[in-house]
Amino acid sequence: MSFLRWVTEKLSVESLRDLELFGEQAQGLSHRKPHEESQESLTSLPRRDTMGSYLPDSSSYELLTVIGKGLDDLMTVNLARYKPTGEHVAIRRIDLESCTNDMVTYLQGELHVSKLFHHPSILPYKSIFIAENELWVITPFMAYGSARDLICTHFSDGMSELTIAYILLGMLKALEYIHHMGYVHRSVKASHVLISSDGQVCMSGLRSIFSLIRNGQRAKMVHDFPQYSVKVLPWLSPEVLQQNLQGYDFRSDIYSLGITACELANGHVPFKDMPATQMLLEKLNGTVPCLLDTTTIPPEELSLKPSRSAADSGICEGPRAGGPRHSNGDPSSSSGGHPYNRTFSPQFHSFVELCLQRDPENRPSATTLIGHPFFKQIKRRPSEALPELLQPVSPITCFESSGPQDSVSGLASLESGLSHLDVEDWDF
Amino acid sequence: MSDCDLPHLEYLNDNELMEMDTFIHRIDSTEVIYQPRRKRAKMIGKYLMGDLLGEGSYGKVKEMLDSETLCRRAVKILKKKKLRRIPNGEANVKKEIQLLRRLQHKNVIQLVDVLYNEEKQKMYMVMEYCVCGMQEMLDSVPEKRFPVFQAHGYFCQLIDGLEYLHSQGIVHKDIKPGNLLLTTDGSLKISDLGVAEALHPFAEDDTCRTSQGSPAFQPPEIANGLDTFSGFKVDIWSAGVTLYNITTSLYPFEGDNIYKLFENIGKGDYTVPEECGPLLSDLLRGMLEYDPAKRFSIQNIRQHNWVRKKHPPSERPVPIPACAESRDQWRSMTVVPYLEDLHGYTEDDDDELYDGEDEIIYTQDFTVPGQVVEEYQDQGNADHSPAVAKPVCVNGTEGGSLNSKSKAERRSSSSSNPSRKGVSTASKIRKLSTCKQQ
Repeated sequence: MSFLRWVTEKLSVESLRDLELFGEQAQGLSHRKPHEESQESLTSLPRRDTMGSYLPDSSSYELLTVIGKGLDDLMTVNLARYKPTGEHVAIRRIDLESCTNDMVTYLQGELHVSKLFHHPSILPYKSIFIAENELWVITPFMAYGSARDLICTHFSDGMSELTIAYILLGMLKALEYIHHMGYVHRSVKASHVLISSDGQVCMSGLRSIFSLIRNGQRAKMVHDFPQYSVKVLPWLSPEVLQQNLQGYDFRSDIYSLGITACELANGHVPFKDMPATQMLLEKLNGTVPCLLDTTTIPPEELSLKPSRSAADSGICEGPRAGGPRHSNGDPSSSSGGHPYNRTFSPQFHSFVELCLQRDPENRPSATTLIGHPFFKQIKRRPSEALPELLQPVSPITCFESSGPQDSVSGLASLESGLSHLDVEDWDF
Repeated sequence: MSDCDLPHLEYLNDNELMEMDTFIHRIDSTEVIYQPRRKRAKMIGKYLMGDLLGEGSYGKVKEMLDSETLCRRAVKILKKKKLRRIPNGEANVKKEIQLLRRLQHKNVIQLVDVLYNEEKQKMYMVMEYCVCGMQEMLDSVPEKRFPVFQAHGYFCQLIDGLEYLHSQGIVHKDIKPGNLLLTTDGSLKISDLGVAEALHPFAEDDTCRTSQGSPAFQPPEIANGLDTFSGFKVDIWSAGVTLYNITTSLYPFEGDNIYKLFENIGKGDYTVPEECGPLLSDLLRGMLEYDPAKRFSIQNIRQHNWVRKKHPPSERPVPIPACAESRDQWRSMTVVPYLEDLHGYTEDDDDELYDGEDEIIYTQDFTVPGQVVEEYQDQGNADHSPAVAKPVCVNGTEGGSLNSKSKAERRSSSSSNPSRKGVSTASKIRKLSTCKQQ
């Protein structure tokens, strides 16, 4: 029995090797001198980006603070310094010994896909190798953390509409690419959107990605229910959750994007404070979450003190299709600081409504959504606009300005910067 | 009504039970409202029970929902009392669980969890969810068979699953369309290992001595009552009968009773309909070979040209039929009404409850002290139409066509509202008061 498991596990690891994902490190040479070219590494291909290639050798990395955990605590995310260049990188370390066969297969799928994908809005895997019993995945360090971190630390009542527009546009570009490649992402959420120090928006969370290609052909619908996705349930579309013969396709990601839009705007994901079963019921019954502002919350509530009000659930009172709304330009007089006493543009509302339609057929594709009037407000490049919009948050790499070799104080400021992060939620 | 006994008590702790006594007061019989049987939430561990999927000799199979992962599941409910009445019942179940626990293949049904209730002498085998059985699909069309390309697809999966089982030293012994299930994405799952046999790890070959499979699918060596026989070749034969059946709608051997049937199988005379064509005929003859030693092995089958051939989808495939009960073509979750009960969404009486042909049971309504119940105004009104739109949607929009929909939305707005807690306790109490009545 256990022998069998051992064999199969070994086989899975061997087949991981077959993917040429691992460098010689895996073969057991532990202290090789790092040198320029490493043929076995994924990143040895001529790089199309600025980061350059990274050695598949654990001794080339100096592990710094832990910046996250995930995958049922099997995964630890470290900030690390890449010794040859001094650059900061993020390393996800997964203890393969504690992984079940299923889990290994699952991870394999992710690595496979990461090899296939190349897009500026998708977090690239710079190097993948095995060190001791751990799978190491090297990715660029995204200094602003995830969009969810930003919400947790600085924008607890939601971000500004323009910031959200930049983030959603980045996500849509990634989704357009992923869908074009024949995949469904299946875990679109704010914690899977990372922002680099220069305002680049990158999607991560490829772990539950699923291919629509069946026997060489693109299937119209797929039916697989994502595993290990308990934390993603609030973002999943009704048709994914329904698990019936109807199945789902890439449009389920569009629904999740709509939920993410609410998450970014409201500061929390809709349905967050109810049991999973109730969330399921709400979605199947057609409850449509919405942006919380003066157009969706009655003025009586906005004039109340900010408290645990109905608005907190992030769900508006029914689909507002055609129905009379509360007038836009008349925020309640007592602007006593209710966080949702604000008005998002009608374009933003319509964008979210389009995404969250119950019938997937009616949801626009990522490509169509990129042309939505909501994004008309974007005038500058994200690298110029986002860092400014995110103020007072500063990227955690700002310590680098404190001097090239001043590693002690640099690290100290870095760690204090990191302590702002909600470590629990930094799941890539 | 029997499913309305103890389990609901679990929702209440002692304190609430005490409080409740003060809530329940006598009500005149004129105040008793007729109500069709409502689907009441029942949790088994973390699983929420749904509708009946089927009934086997051992007990019921129901749909379930994993309340944590929201994954659809099926559960085989086994009652000890029933098992004792079936020859080898308990032993077979134990064996099946042991076997399934160590199996993992995309074409073999996965056992997810096993729960026991000592008090009720019940066992729950939680399995992966399958939407339909192959027999049900066959029965749903007048031709009672699949187009060749569809049958080919299923047969290849059957062989994959069978090869895995045999590699694990397991003889299934009851391969037939009735034991082949399909998932939403059309994967075939070999199920029901109730009469399967695990060969001894050090056994020299696949010699078996017993078989309890379905008669029409048994090979000559069993029909003739041989003491020992090759187990793997039994499965090959049964898979051959299955292929014969799903491509022609016929059985190679028939008989008015089991003796006649076994007599015919024992003789081994059968014909393959001409419409099968030479390739399929050859495969069927190889699998339905009288002499187990000459009968095709899995390898022979894999290399057979009918199996290797690509069969163009010439006809429309037989679809998974709509659910017989609900007429739901998508076979959606059946747990939704139970979810509504679980979360207290069914409190206001719903119109749709009244036009069902469900059996009518007595339900006693009640009032919580201090709460004015609007229903009183409707008393004596035969078609008792409850206050459907009691709390008006705050933003004044119409909730849509579905009654339950608007209710859900209305309810959702109060989901983080502390007052909600009171509502759900009330619903718990109502549950209990109904139970007490019976």
